[in-house]
Amino acid sequence: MILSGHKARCATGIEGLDSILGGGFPRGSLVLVTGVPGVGKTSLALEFALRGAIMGEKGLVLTTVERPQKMVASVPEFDFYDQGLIDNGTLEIREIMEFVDGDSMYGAHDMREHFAKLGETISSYIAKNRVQRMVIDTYHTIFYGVKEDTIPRDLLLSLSDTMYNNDCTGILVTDASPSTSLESVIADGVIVLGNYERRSDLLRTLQVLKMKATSHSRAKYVIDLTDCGVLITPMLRGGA
Amino acid sequence: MSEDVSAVVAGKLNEVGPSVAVALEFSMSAYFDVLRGLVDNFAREKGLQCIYITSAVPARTIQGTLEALEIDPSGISFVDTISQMIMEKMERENRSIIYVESPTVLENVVLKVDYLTRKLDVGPKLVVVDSINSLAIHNDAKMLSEFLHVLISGLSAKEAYPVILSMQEQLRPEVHEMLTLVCDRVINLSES
Repeated sequence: MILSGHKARCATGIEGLDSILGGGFPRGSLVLVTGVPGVGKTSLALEFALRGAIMGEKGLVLTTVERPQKMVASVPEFDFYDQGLIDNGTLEIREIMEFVDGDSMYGAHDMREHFAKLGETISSYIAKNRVQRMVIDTYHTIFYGVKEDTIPRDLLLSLSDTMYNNDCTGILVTDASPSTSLESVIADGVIVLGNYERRSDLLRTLQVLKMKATSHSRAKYVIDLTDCGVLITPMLRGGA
Repeated sequence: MSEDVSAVVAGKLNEVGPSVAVALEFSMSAYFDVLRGLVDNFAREKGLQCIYITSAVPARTIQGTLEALEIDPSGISFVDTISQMIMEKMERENRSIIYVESPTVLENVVLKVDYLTRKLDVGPKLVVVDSINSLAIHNDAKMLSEFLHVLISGLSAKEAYPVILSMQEQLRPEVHEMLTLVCDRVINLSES
């Protein structure tokens, strides 16, 4: 077995983010994109999948709350959006419930078993279809009504294995607190989007808190959500 | 005299070439001539697209001024940092103007310039900051120097022509000192 410190990069295609990360996410990693509502998590995740599809990487976006059409409509109208990528199957945007047996897993007697099955279904789909980029938006909402807190952890571990074994790079969109959540510990990377109030101005920010196998900036950046995609610039400190 | 100033502005910028950040210091009375020199004599003659950051007066006023000077403003994209702050009427349907909430959100100015450089046709661009004096009303010199550094670095890589306008009558010493540190060239037009 050869152990190498070098990890191939999965360029997100988001210019500023790739610069911060020294080329992109480590390929095969699972990255948490977290933050309060309205800061651009879905835009960033969808751009990651779209940019990958443009580069020829097969992508799978699983929605848990919104219907795929509504999700696409909720982000800026990207000028690089190409319906052909969806039509030819390079990028699939589907509801996660399509990966669950039956109408719903909620209320089932054995929730653990159902979620384990969900992890297996996603895993075999990724392997069979050679998916290289996966997005789940949003991860936490799958577990509403689930009382056992080990279930989200187990599914996350399963997804993390799936990513690693299939050389697939994934984003989980979540609203989990990056400082206390177990997800942040398990995930290979954590990117926090947020709002920053300076005087009476409110800035949208991005900060990479963690990215395994990557020497990255931990500074805060200011972002803009545009039809060119997510644009990023350093936050000014003003000598502070 | 007017044509002299306009020609001097164009001549000086032609001398320095792209990717060189230039601070133009001049008397307020020469403002319109400088404007003509930048937009008409320099950018139009060189076939440059122009991104105009305005923080002193609304972009619509600059457009009107250019029209009064018989200069076609249609090829200029504006980043207007003042209209929203002073609650001026904003022309959202005017595609040549992008609004930023206030001149204090300098990061958003950088982002809008980045956005425009992606959206406009390929080719070198003239990027005008009008003016450092008005930005200095809302920001301290440290913030401004960092802003200009980030803006200029990004533009240099794109072979753009960054020009920072500075009115001598309103120029605080620390802002002048900051310009000499951050810009590659400081050109005092009254010495020309």
